[in-house]
Amino acid sequence: MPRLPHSLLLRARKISPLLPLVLRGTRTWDSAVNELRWLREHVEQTTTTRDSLLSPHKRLRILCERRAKGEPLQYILGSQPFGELDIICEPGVLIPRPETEAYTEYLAQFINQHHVVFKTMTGASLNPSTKSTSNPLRIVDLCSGTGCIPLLLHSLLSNTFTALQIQGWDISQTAVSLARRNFRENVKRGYLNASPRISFEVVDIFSNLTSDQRASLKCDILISNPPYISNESFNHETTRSVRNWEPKLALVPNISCSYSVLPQDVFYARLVDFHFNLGQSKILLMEIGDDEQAIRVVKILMDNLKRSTGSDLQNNSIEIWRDWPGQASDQGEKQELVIEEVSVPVRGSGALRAVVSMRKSFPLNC
Amino acid sequence: MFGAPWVCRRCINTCLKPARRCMEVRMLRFASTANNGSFSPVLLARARNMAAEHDRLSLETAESFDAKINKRIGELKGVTYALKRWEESEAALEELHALLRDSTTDNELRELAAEDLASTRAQLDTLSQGLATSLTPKHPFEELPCLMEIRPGAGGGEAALFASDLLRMYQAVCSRRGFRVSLMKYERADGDSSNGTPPLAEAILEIETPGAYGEFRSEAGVHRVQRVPATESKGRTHTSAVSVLVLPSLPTNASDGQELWETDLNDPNSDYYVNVTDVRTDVMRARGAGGQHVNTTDSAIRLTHIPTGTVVSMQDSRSQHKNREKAWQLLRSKLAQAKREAREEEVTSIRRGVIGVAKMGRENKIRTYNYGQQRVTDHRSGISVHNLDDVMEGGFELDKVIDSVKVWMGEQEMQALLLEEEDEAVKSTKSKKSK
Ligand SMILES: C[S@@+](CC[C@H](N)C(=O)[O-])C[C@H]1O[C@@H](n2cnc3c(N)ncnc32)[C@H](O)[C@@H]1O
Repeated sequence: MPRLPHSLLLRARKISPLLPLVLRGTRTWDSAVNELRWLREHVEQTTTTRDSLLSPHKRLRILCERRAKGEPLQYILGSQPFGELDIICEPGVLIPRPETEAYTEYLAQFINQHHVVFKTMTGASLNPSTKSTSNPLRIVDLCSGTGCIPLLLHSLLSNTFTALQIQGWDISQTAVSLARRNFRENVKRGYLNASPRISFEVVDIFSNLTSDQRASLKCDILISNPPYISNESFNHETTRSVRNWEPKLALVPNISCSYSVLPQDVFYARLVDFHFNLGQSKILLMEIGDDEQAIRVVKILMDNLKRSTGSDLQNNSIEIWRDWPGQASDQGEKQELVIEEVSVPVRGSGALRAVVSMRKSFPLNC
Repeated sequence: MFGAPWVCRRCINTCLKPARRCMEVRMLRFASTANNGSFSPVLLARARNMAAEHDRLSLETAESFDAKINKRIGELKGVTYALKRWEESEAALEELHALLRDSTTDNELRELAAEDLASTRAQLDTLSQGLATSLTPKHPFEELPCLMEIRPGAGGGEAALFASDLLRMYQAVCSRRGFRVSLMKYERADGDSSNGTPPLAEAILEIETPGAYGEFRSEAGVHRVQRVPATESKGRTHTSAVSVLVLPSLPTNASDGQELWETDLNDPNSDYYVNVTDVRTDVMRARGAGGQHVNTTDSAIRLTHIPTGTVVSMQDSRSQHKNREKAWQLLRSKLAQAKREAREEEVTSIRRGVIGVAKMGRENKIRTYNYGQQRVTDHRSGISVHNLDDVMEGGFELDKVIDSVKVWMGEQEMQALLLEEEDEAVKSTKSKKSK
């Protein structure tokens, strides 16, 4: 990690003796200035019994010292805004990322725009007088962590879809408990409707699934932000704050299994398997880490398609979404990639961030 | 013809007490100067046209109800009523004059008439003021809440310090007057904050109370400060400047008049309409791989309105969502103001030398705060007050200054109106002659 230039630290000290501390944590000027302000506001707004004996200034200083050691601001403040929601963050569970927020919002917007298609597809009655409870829109988020994805989908879809069934699965009990708490808290604060409920369960997606779980996977939409970082990349490409403070279980796959893919791609092999062979999900959306991984994941999808029925390639479409899928692409950003002689459309602007597979049984590509 | 802005200094100095009265008196002078004592004929003609339209529309709606026509009738009501009262009063005055001229009038009656004359004249004066006021067009943003943007200009750190002083001044005046106010954006500059006030790079106050725009639009322009900075060891006076921008704010969330705004936001002809496809959104890009590799808190949003090149950015909240909302609010306000100014620019060419009032002062020095003399002078109204501390605390002295500018603005509008009418009168006689 490069040292911060001395001049920068001096400049920071001139503004506030606390700013160099925060700067050590953020390593960028703008973030440091903002974070110091947010920390200050946090101290002004909260008094916990434990540290109420300390002066506000002292408390602020302690928080800044924690930040200087690289502890993420989200763990210090205990939350991260996500869409219109506020997600509680605690050590042991991955902090929600803005890219995740962006594609989740984009997906919800997409579903809302085509809600008629989705409703007929799920067999739900379009007659408003007959409540369409029999055939709800069913969504499963695998590796749900804080629960941010199911919660945001709920927040954005529950007005259009009165019948909505959302589940979140995670291997970690800590994560599942936190996700449930996040649902409760956001309902309490009026950010979310209490019904329909979201169910969060402890499930290891590589275990032998129960028949109930298998049935759940026959849903409309499968979405996942699985661990996708290789050991090598974990050591060299993650920031100190991620490496030292966030759970490695959430970041690096540590699975020995029969899929013949790179170790960092095993979750994708499993997800694609679910999508094509176990369930009949209409949409599969997977977050990915970089360009090469995007291409590998598209290939995994294509291999599966070829193997399953041979002709299915025509009945399925694959897309890649960038960090900000709703935005116009910048100059020089490709709008399609050719992978194994198939043209794959690329949406939006930023780095490649998600691979999306859709059944063509309904006209989604409008 | 009116060249330079018409300012009556004696009037400013003597009748500042109730500012409103002062405005009326001066406006009357204005309205009547055009034609020796009686109401300006061009304005009178305008008033009569409006009243005629009012009566015609009233007849129409008697048969069928039409919301649009009803709205127009509402707009014309004030003028129509003021004109009626004025005409009655003028007729009464004329009658008195006739009585006095008439040689057959007996002495007793003559005495009574003479007595009435003075009071009728006074009444006519008041009614003339009323008529003049009813004719001056209301600013279209008058009733809106506003955003007030404060930025230091020339003068370095001292300007930044004065910018925070002004910010505090406006916060104080709002809280004294019971206006809801919140800090929408606060960007600090580098520099010493040992005295507890971080120097400002840019601040935006959101004054949420309806009518705040009308209340504070007089504040837009360059505010100049003359004082010895705390950092100046030789005791020399420095001059620095801070610019203030006042924008109409468009309520987007549930509040009074929400429906109105929603339709306006979607109507391409409205000032508040912004075509979403014209706006480019930029977010802070994570360095390196992004995604799970980093956990930064960047939530900044920058919006660029491509056709006009207008750029706004917002990073105050940890929530990207909120920043986006605020940025859109700010962008809409800026674009609405710009559209309005463009239209005013057009009108200005018609109004010959008169400067568009809303735009007046945007780049101009409007006010000086002189700490050495404890004096605040507004260069438009010409007012000087000598209780600088009270001004800076948002006290009644500041009200005094603001009111004097409002009077001045009213005058400007009156002047513009007159010119516009005269212009039209000339045009119509010309076209008649050419026939
Ligand atoms: C990258 S995090 C994503 C969390 C959340 N969805 C988000 O976007 O913020 C991956 C999550 O996968 C969970 N996980 C790891 N191995 C798993 C497994 N075998 N089965 C289910 N979940 C697993 C981790 O506990 C972690 O919460």
